[in-house]
Amino acid sequence: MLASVNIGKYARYFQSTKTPFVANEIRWFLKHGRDQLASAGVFSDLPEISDTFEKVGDQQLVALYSQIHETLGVKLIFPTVESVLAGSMSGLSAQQIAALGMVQWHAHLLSQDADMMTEFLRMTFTVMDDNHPRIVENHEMRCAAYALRSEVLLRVIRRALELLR
Amino acid sequence: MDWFFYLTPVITALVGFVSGWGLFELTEWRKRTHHQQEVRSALMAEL
Repeated sequence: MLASVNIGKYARYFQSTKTPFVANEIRWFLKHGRDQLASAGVFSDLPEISDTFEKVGDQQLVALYSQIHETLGVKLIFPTVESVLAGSMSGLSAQQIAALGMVQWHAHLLSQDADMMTEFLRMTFTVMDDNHPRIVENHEMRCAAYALRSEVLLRVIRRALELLR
Repeated sequence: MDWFFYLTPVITALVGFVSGWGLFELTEWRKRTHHQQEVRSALMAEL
């Protein structure tokens, strides 16, 4: 769910060819994310907003979300995946374990991008003069890398879920 | 009939041992299966 949120938050980094994909993810989160949060007892009083977003077109929805300007990436942790991979009695097949390993690996790469975003953001406040535009550009590139990594992670998670069902 | 006198406790002990072992394995298998199902559910919830 958090990986899906990232797609919406970093919508502006996706090419126009991926507009339907980004719009679908935003809608998926608005529909299922709200239910999941409510079932977990979190934000159970969230208003029903998915109907409103159903009527909005893909391009309009993505354009709306593209106004979000995230500067710091969030690290995603998977404690259960980690413990299952470390344990020997999970009862999972080799293919399922490999899929979980891939989830863990891409979550690690996402964390690296998040660290670099933090580092370059910090440097934008300290590095001045000629190097400043370069730092800003690097930060922007890291944001884009974070967005693309989020997409890969999301696809890997969905694949792992398919195998676990 | 002497052999029957001596063999009866041996057979009883063997049957008891095998039954006990089987019951223990069955209990362990049920616990393991239940644990694995719990882990699978937790995994899917996390993902």
